[in-house]
Parts: sequence; structure tokens; C-alpha cells
Amino acid sequence: MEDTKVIVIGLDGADYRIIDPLIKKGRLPNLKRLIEQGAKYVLESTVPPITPIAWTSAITGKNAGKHGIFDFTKPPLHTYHPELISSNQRDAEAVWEILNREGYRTGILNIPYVTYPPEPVNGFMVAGIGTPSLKGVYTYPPELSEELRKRGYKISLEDKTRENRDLRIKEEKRLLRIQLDTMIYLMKKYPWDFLFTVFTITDSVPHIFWDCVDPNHPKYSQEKSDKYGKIFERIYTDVDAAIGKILEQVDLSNTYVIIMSDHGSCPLYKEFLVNNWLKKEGYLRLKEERLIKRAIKTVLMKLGFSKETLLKIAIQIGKEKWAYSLPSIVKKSVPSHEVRNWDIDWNKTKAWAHGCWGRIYLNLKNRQPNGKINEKDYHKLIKEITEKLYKITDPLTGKNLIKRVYTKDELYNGPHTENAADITIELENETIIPIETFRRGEIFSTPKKAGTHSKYGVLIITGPNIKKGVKPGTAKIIDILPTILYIFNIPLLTDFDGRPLKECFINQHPLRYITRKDFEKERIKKILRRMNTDGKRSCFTSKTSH
Amino acid sequence: MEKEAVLLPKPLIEKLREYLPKTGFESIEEYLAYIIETVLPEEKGEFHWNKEDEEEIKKRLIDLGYME
Repeated sequence: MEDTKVIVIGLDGADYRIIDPLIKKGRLPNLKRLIEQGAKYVLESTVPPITPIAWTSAITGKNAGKHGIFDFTKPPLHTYHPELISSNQRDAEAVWEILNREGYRTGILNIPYVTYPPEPVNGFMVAGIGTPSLKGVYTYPPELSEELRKRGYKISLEDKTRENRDLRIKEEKRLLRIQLDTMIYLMKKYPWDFLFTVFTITDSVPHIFWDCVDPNHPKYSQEKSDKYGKIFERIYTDVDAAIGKILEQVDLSNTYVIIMSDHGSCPLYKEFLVNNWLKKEGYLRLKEERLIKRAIKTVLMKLGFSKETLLKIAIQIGKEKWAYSLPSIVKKSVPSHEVRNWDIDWNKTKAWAHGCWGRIYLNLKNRQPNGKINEKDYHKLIKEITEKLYKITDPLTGKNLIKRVYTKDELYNGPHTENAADITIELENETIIPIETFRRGEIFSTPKKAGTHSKYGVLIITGPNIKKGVKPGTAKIIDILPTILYIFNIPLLTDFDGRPLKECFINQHPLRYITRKDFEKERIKKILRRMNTDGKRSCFTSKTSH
Repeated sequence: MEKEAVLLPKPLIEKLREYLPKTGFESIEEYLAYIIETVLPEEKGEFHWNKEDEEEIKKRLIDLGYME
């Protein structure tokens, strides 16, 4: 196994519903070849299927109760306005940490939202979306930041592309080319045993263009279809070609290739405004505005002076950044069609939805700044809200809206479970998503975006010891890391939640497990051995020194 | 620096006491503290966003459709 290499190519949001028909049309030769020569799984994402929790679960092999990343923001505990997450919040070893410790060299490029600030690695790491700016350090080693900047590297798109579909497509495709070129450059520059890169175009474009592709979409029109109906084909063809270019650089006789997504993609027809529902049921109260203030706001909004229209103007004149950086007192004064977090009357609120996927938190005493709910009433209130949620009807099908309501203990386990939302909901209909944003009055609204995330994504594994053309069924996203360690024959820690996908290997070696305690003993021994040989401490061991 | 007692098996303390003159360390406590600091992994350290960077990321999250 000395020369074994693994390359993971993440396709954020990739979905077989798009891939399979295109393969039939002969449009994705590289993915077709990989599927024929390897194992094709359906990949079950996390609940909810959103980027930070899903990618972190993939790179740690653990559930969020152990790794501690639940959302784009930290949990709203002891504050109603938590800051964004960063890589420092991850409380579990990532794949590169384990492989580096075992002496393998790793290259990481563009894993979204969970790699900034970049971490020291034996190899390279380039942070993905979630990096504030390319002006600072976004790589390890730090000097690589300047080098990539000079080569024209980009992490995400310019602001001006939001309102212009043609420009968006052009820029997304350009971004893909830049990221591919960078990947190939880094593959040649640094020796590696393990690479992990993610292309985000397979997520960002469907978010905007499902209404051009799906005839059942409420915003679908013939005109959109004529103009952009083949958009998925265009971008997936480019991504397939990018995969081909990467594979040209590797020796497939000793390299395992893993193609994976963090979740699938589907059209979005409606949004369930959880905060509006909580307000209607009496769990959430808004601050009462004085009559005169409300009257002024109403007049201003009727005249078109609102956050939404001002932001639109700011985007058109290229001053969007300026608009966002206004002091919060100014932002709070501008009337909006949306109700914002600061409009909530916390003294009269029992529960509210926070963050992506509208997860519900109780306004608990000693946990929230203005907590109202006593600990003894916690379970009673959860039960009450749960029962009411199960009674909501799907406005599109007339059936039950909710598939399942989860308490934190039903979804997660581990030391961070207590920080999870008190209630997480999963809907029956994937074309509706729960959201935190609440606009005045409505419980269901028409979304701004055209597509969303679905629970089931993509996993294709090929390699010298992988069965050809097999479809073993469903794998979980937490199985990715244990499977990578299995390929390298590294003992698995017993506290992983995932399992190695052993069934797709031709020659299966016995699983080797190691307890956390034995693992720690080995780690200490390695540090001491290393100190004996070169007299100084190092967090990495080199593969050649083994 | 404030200190706290940790209990260790007596034979181990005896061994350490015997070995200490060869180390140059002045006390068992100092020696053990050095070993522990050496083998503990380095902490990731606190990271906090500055307001401007945080706004920039949020803007991108809105742009990509994750936040509204």
C-alpha cells in the first residue's frame, strides 16, 4: 500500500437526476467511465442537508454532535446574533490531520465554508468559499496565497453577477476553469498522497436555474427554457471535462478516485416560513411599533423606499458592499418587507427559528440572553410544538407537510449535541424548504431562488481494488472518511459514526480498530520517537522517515 | 501561576525522584509539566471574524441563496 494515492473530487450538490440522463446522452464520458469501472452509491447527506454540516461530516466521519458544526453560524446560545463559523470551531480531526499524522502528504483545495482559516498541513491547503478576501492569507503554506493571487486565482464570483443570468453562467464557467488550472498546478507543485478538491458550480447554478429546466416549476416559462433549458448539460459537461483533465495527471493503477457530493439538488417551489408559523401559533412576538413609526414605514415602503429596493439599486451601481457595511443602526432604520431578528420581542417569545433550514430554538432561561422558558417546561413545550407541526398541511399536495420532527438527541450524539437546535424538521416534499426568514404575514411564500438541496447525493468510488460496475446501495456521508482510512489501511478510531464501505473492495482486509486511548498512546510515542531522531518536536511525521 | 494537585502512583513518583538528578530539572513538577506540554497537541486558538469580513461572507451566502 506504500504507493497508494487517493483523490476526492467533490461536486457540491451533484445529483444523479441530472447525471444519469446526461450519461445516457453520451455527454459525460469521464463520469460514465468511472461508474463503469467502480462502485456507484447513492449518498445520504446529513439532516439538514446543508453545506457546512455535510462537508464537515464527510471530512471527520462524525455526526455534528461530535464535530460541532451545525450551520453557517455558531448556535445562537447566549446571543441572538451569533457569528459565522470558521474552521477553528471544528472539534474533530479532519481527514488531513489523520493522514498527516500517519505520514501521508495531503492537498486540499476549495472545500466550502469549513477550511477558513487554513490549517497547517503536510502539503497544501487552499481555503474555499467562506474566505472573506484573497487579500489576506487563505492558504497553507501562507506564501502560496500571494503566488495564487498572481496567477489570477478566484474563490467566488463578483457581486455584479447576481442579477444577470448570462453573466453568471459565463463567470461560473470561468471560475471552474481557474479552479481546475489551480488544482493541476498544485498537483504538480506539491508531492501528494491524498487530494481533496471541490467544484461548487454544480450547486450554485442549479440554485438559480431549476426554473428553466423543470416544466413543473412555478416560475418556469417557455422563454426561460428556450434560453437556458440546457444549462445543466452545459455545466455538467464542463465539470466532466475537468474531472478528465485531473485524471490525466494521475496513475490510475495505484490511485483511488472518489467522486462525491455533499447533498443532491432539486427544484424549489415553496418556502415554509417557520418564524411566521411560530408567530401565528403564539410562540413568537414582534416588538410593537408606535403608530406614527409604523405609518411612516408604510408610506416609505409604498413609495418604494425599502431595504429591498435600495439593495437592488446598490447592486446596479456597484455599491453593494457599501450598502452591507452600513452601521446596524442605519440598517435597522430602513423599512423592509422582511421582519428581521431585531424586530423580535424576546421578552414575549417562547421559540424562534434560526439559521439555514429554519431550525427551532426555545428561548430558554440561562441559555438565551432574555430566556423565558424554565427548564422544567422544556420537554412539554417541545412536545406541544411538535404536535402542532405534524398538523400542518403541504399547500402543494394537500398531504402532511412534515415527514419527521427531530429533537437534538434524536439527530445527534456527542459533546456538542446540547448546542444543536431544539427542533429540526424534515419535510415530506423536497420542493419545499423550511427557512428562518419571515416576510410579513405569510406562512408559505414563493422563493427567490429556483432550486434547493435534496437529501440524496452522489458517490462513485474507483481504484485498483474496487469492484467494477457495482451498485451496492446507499452510503452515508459519514462513511467517506472511514473508507479513505480503509484504503490506506489505517486503523479506524472506534468513535467514528461512519463505516468503511468495505463491500465495494475486491480484496477485503480485516478492519483494524483502535480505541481513542490507544490512538493517543501511539501519538505520544510517535512524538517522542521523532524527538529522539531530530531533537525537535514536529506535528507531522514524514512518510519517508517510516 | 495557580497550581492543582494530581495524584500519581507512588512507585512512579519514586522512579521519577531517582531519575530527576539526571535531567537537570529542579523538581518532579517542573519535569512533568514539560513532558505534558510537549505531547499535548497545539491548540487551534481563538478565531473571531472582524465585522467587515463577516459581512462580506454573509453577502456571499445571500448571493448563493443560503441566506436571505
